[in-house]
Formats: sequence, C-alpha cells, structure tokens
Amino acid sequence: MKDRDTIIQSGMLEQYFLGTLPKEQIAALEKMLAEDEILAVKYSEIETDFENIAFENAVQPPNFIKNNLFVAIQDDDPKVKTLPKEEPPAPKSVNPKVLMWIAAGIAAIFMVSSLWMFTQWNTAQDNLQVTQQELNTIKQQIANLEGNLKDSQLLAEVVKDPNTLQYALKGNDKIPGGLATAYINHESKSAVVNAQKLPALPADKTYQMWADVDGEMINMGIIDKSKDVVILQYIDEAASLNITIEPAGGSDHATVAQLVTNVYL
Amino acid sequence: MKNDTLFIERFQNRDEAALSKLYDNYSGAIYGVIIRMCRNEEAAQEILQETFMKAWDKSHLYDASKGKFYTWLYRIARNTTLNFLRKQDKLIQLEDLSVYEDEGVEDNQELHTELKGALSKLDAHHQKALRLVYFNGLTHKEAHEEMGVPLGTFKSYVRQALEKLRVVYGKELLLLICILELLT
Repeated sequence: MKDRDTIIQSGMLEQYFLGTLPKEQIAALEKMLAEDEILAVKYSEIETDFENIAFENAVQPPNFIKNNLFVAIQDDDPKVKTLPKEEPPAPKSVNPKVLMWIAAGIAAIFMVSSLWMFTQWNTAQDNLQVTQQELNTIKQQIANLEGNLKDSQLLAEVVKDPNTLQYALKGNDKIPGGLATAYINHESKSAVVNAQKLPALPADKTYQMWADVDGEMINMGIIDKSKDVVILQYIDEAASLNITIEPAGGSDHATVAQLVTNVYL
Repeated sequence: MKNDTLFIERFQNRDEAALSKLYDNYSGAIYGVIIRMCRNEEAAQEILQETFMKAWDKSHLYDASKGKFYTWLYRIARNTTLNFLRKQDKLIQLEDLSVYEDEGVEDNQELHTELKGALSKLDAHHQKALRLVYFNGLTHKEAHEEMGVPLGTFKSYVRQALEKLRVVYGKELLLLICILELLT
C-alpha cells in the first residue's frame, strides 16, 4: 500500500470523496483511514472543503419537494400496513404418490359409477321389456274387447233382426249338457253360432259345423271356442245343422262318428 | 457546519422529525450540486426527492466512522443524478441530437447555477477543475481530458484549489469567531 504522502499527492482522497475511486482501491484506503489518524484528518479536511463549497453554492429547492418527500415516505412507511393481496396460491410441487392416489381414486369412482350406470341401464331395459309386455297384453286385451264388442254387436244385430231364426243345438252323450245356439237369416243369408256353452276340447281337437244338403255334409266353418259368437258360412237349402268334433284345423269331410249335436231346420 | 450527530442518530432510528431537520440543513447544498450536474430544474427536483428517499430507506447503511453525513448524502445524489443523465443520453441518442447542441457546461443564469462564494474567486483553472469533478460529475480521467492537461497536473489543480479554499474558509471562520467574541 502506498504511504500517506503518496496517497495525498495522488488525489485518492478527493476521488474517494467524489465516489470515483476504483473499487479495488476503496477497501485498502478505508483500512488506511481507519488506522492512520493523520490521513483521516486530511480526508476530513477535504470533506469539509467540499461541504463548504456546496453550502456556499447552495440553491434553495421549492418547498413542495419536502412535502412530496414526506407524502412519499408515509406511503412507503412500513407502519402503514397494506393488506396483502389475495393472490392465487403458488403451485405446489405435488408428490407423485399423491398424484397416483388421486388417479387411482378417480379411476375407482369412474368404475363404480360405470357399474352403477350399467346396472341402471339393465334395470331400465328389464323395465322396458316388462312395460312392453304389459303394453302388448293391454293391446291384446283391447283387441279381445274390441272382438267381443264386435261379436256382441254382431249378435245383437242378428238377434234383433226379425228375419233371424234361432236354433238350439243340444249336446248328445259325447258332450252332455253342451249347448250351441245358431242364428240363421235366410233373407240376409247369414249364419252365426254362439258356442259359449259347448264344453272345452283338448288342444288337438276343434268343433266344426256342417250343413246337411241332400244327404251331403257341407262345411260351414270351424267354431272358434275363444270367441263368443262365430260367423259361419251360410249354406242354401240346408236341411239340418250339425256339429262334429274334428282334429285341430278342421276336416274336409265330416266325421259323422264324432257328431255331438244337430238340429233340423 | 453544524453538529448533526443527534439528528443523524434519530434519523437512523426512523425519526421523521430528524429527517425534516436534516432535509432543512442539507437540501440546499445537495440541490445546488444536483441542479448544476443535470442542468434541468424539473429533473433536479425529482432527483433531490429521490436522494432523500434513498437516504431514508438506507439510513441504516450510513457509517459515521467512514465519513461525514454530507459526504454520504452527496454520493447518493451524485449517483442518482448520473443514472438520470445516462438514461437521458440513451434517449437523446434516439432523438434529434441537434436539439441539444446548444447545451454546454457553462453556467446557466436562469437556473442560478453560476458558482458563488470562495470558489468563484479562485483562478479559472482551479475553479474549472473543481467544477468538472464536483458539479459536473466527471471522473479525474474525464476531467483532465476535458481540460486538456495531464492527469497529474489536473490532480494538482484539484488539490491546490481545495487548499486555497481552506485558507479562505479558515480566515472566514476566524473572522466569524472574532465577531462572535465581540458580540458576547
């Protein structure tokens, strides 16, 4: 390090005061100033000289600057606490295990909800099927009711017609107690039979009605036991009406041995 | 100069009354330096406020063992002003340079920046040497180039100027003491 006189002659003290001394020399000079009282006094003289110059050349600043300064300081004063802004929480680093648990939880929820939805869907399907069946049943019932209504209307029309002749066909020994009522209208050439009181037959059997014309049995039609009133084919010049038991689906020729009832016209 | 030790301690303890007192004591001297350095009244006012703001914020950094309070305040003002001027230089480089051609380092009557007191009575080269480093913010190297003299000669100018001023101030101080003695 330079000695005291060299420092004084080099202008380092003035530069140090002015703040233009190179950084690498500042620490060394400050150390010397701390240790060398004479040098420190010299520096203090320089400080005073510059300070005197400044005070001799002082320029009075406007008063508002001081006011502004104190306003600014009070705005900036930590005593005036400003409420912390509500900032969105900084994204935290998430533990991969936590992420895995979250993913597993979401997957489980998805599976459970899928299973529940599948069950619900199946239940809905079953309900729909039942509903459809019920609907079909209702439709069938409506159709039956409509059929019955038509039969009743038909029967009413036939019965109330004064030209209609009514014949009772009582069952023989093969169907004791059995009864069928035939309504024949020669004017309108219609034939209707009410077979409600004929006893039920096995599934492979059916009642069939025949008209005897000149000794020959002419087919009038199969009597459908599910209906109250059955429309049959009208046959001209029939001498009698005959009902036989035939195989299901009916026969082309009457099985006379299975005649259960007849009536002469 | 006044002994402001008590005020400085209170200032360092965030006493606004102490800041007010120190502002009253030093703002004129500091403003005189700033306005001569930046030659812009409006900017000088802002820089003065900023200087005291910085001093207030960094008051804990002032170390009386390393120098006078004025020296610490002067360095803050000088650095703040030089930063302002550097920003201005960048702006000027982007604008029309001819607008600023007439601005020099001569004293500005409107800004009251002419040198006063003992300094104004020094020889021209001594006066200029101090003005360049103290009021214009130049380094010794920049200033000796500005004056066109060797660096060693320039350093001598500064030293000699200060010594002459010290003599004047010493006489003034002696005169002041005599007057005070007579008054008492």
